Amino acid sequence: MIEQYNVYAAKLLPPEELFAPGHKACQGCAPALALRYLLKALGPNTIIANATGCMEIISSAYPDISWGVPWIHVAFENAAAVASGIESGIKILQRKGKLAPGKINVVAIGGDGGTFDIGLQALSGMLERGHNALYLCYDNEAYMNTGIQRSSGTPYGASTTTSPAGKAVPGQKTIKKDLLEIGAAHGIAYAATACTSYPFDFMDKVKKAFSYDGAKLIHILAPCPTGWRTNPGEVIKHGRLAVHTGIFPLYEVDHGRYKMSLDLPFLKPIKSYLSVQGRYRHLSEAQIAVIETNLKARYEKLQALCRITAEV
Amino acid sequence: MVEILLNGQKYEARAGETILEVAQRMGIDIPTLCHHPSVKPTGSCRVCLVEFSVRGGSKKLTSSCTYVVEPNMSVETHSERVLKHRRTVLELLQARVPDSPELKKMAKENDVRLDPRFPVMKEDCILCGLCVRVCDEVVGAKAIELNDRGTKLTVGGPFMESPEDCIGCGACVYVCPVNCIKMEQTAETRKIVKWDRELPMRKCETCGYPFMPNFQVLRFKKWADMPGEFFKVCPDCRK
Repeated sequence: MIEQYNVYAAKLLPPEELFAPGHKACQGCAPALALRYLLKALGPNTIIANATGCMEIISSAYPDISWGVPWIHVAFENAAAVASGIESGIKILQRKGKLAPGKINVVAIGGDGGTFDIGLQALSGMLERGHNALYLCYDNEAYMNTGIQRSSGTPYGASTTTSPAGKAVPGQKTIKKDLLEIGAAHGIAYAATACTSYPFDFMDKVKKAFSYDGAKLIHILAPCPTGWRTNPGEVIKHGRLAVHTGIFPLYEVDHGRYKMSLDLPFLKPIKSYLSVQGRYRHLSEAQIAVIETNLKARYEKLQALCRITAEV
Repeated sequence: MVEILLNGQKYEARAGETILEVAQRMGIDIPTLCHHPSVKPTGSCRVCLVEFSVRGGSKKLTSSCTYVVEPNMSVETHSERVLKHRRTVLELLQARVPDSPELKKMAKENDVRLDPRFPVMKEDCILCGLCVRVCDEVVGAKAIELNDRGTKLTVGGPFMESPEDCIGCGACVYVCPVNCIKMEQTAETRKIVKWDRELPMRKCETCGYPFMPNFQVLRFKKWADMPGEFFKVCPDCRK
């Protein structure tokens, strides 16, 4: 249902750019696109706490800054904690009458390293306390900013500088941590996955998240051509392939109810996704089979969850 | 540059700007339904009402999305009179479309009384005509239009039949302020329910994935002067 806006609806987006061009991102950077879409969906009444990572570095190289909204750079581990503080501060100031009443969107942004590994504790705290803020994890599947080190968001088989593919070790040995399940297990109002290749789906999810009170989590897959060793001109295609092959299914958990965002007629063969990326080029047939079984099992589990929770 | 007073504060507006554009730029929240920056304003929903006077003259109500700023203008966006009329407009819209979550939210924000004074009509569309303007000005298909006049006004294809020029792009679905236009898609067809328009999907010759309606392909070939081979495969399989 989300691929239908593929032609003219893009002309109906707000024209103002709150994430200004001219930042220092690599060619074909999809995480930067994610931020652009985020701010188009939220508008200027937004405060952002940004953990250290690619997006913090590229958007704020002294003396330039790309952000058209209030923005705080915080340490790697506490983006969610700072966002909680901002939200509580706004609440108190509005109660005391020192700040005009009105809705101010608070967003914490972290990369996969800053969310899956380092910031998980602060994220869990924010979700558990139920602050009225969004945590956006842009997932490019490794620590790309420091030179492609593995994180717990790196999928099985991917070659990074700290999980290099060789004769003994075939790239990343563990499977990708399921962040959304961790988030949804807190019983939060809204959790969803998104992909930069589906901007309307992502913007709808951001708007839907902010229509609820309480903590919300969005996990967006953002292909990184530098780290994935792909053609920078094809990031949108690769994001779409990730969804079409089922390796990154788009779904949402709305008050515990699972719902697939995209009804795929069939799953494309996983090879079409793996073969275009340099980080997977060492994979043997056996490893591809492992990836395929894992993703099918997960996809079926998700479909089952959708069926079960729809009735509840 | 035109200097205007907006809620008692001085603002500099660009010549030719509407009151709504100035207010939105300055962070003053005026509710809107039928307004969209990509198309020409018509002022049909009347939710964005404001009160204005020029050179201390008599105060008049107008829709801020259509009124262009004048020198020595003083505008009130949230005065008692404006709020009263805005509440009445929202009450009337609610009586027409009682089940829309978007309208309900707007009514709640503007303290509209909950018991409707007007006969409830159980419609789903507020007849703002935004979809019609988008189909004309943004898409260029001109597939749908407002039919008839006055109390008989309806929106749909010409003569209230299924619109033959509809390419199924979904721009109307996306832009509708009360989300009354729904789109259903399967592997075989895409259907826009409100217009009763069903379009068979084209499947990619390489991977078999349905990627766009056949009729859209025909139109794009004509509009963009593209070779037919270009549309045989989906964007992911295109070399």
